[in-house]
Amino acid sequence: MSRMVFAKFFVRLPRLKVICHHMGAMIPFFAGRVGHGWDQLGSRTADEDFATLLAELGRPLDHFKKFIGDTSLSGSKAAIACGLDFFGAEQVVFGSDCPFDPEGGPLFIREIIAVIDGLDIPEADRRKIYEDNIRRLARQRLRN
Amino acid sequence: MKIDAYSHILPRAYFDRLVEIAPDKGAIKRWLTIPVLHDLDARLAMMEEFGPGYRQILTLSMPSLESVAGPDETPALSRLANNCMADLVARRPDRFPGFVASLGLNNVPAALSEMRRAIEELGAIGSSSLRTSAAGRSTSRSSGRSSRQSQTTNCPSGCTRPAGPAAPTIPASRSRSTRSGGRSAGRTRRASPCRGWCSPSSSCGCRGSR
Repeated sequence: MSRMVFAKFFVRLPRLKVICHHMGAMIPFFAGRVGHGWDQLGSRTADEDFATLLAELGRPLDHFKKFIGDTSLSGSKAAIACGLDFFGAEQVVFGSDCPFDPEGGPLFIREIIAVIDGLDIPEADRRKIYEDNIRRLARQRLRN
Repeated sequence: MKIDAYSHILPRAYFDRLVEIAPDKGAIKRWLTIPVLHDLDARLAMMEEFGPGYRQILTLSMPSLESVAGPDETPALSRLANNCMADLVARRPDRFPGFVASLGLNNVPAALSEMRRAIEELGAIGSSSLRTSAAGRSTSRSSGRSSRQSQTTNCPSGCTRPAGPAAPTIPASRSRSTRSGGRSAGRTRRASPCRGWCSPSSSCGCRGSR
């Protein structure tokens, strides 16, 4: 994700939609460090000066928020809530990573559905996560 | 309805081909232990638990195409994979309403034409990248085809770039970077322009010439 952001993917390809497996990994949890931290990228080290790049990009954090996360976090409710807070209900899709769980298929699906159903969010947001967002991202090209 | 936007499958014909060509048979063996990955009947039976409203968008599983095949082989392998995926969607749209195309990132021109074919002709809803680098190069870089044999030089700011055969070399000891110190010892640095995102002052010598 960082490589894509700093290679200016979203500057060059503003309509690109990227779904990051596992809810963008550590990015949502590290939102503060990605935000205030990378606003100062290169300013505390001697060998690189990223001032030009940062001037072209604007805040790196804003670019990270253009990704879409999926819920395949193996069932951690706190992690899904963290990702949902970071990306917003428009940019999170239900994803299970099936079948790479200890039961060989159904466990992640079951646990992630339980987490999403238990989130204290409006029903409209839950529907976006389960269905609406991915239909929009697929530009209504899903077969069913 | 619940559309599972990220699940993995190895369609049978593709899986058989994978087993055939994989250089490391040990790495393939672990996929055999998960029936729903390559056995469609087992997959469909497993999905019953979640009711008729549960659907899966299919993506290929690891290993990535470029980790099992060279740049001359991945184009055919990706065509096979995507054809198989489209077939699964055509057979069971009630369970698999769409798929995401797989591309061999070690052959960028072929990957781009396969992406177009998969999306426009087969109905793929997008393409996936299972890895963030292919053939030692980051997917954030955009120049042409690479080969598995190509050497790469690591830029201290994280970019990688291919070493062109004709490019002059600069000894690693001339690097001003302290971070890359020990790890780059004995390597050579190429003075060919880097198309990554390095700044003009970058110690990798690539001069940020994008």
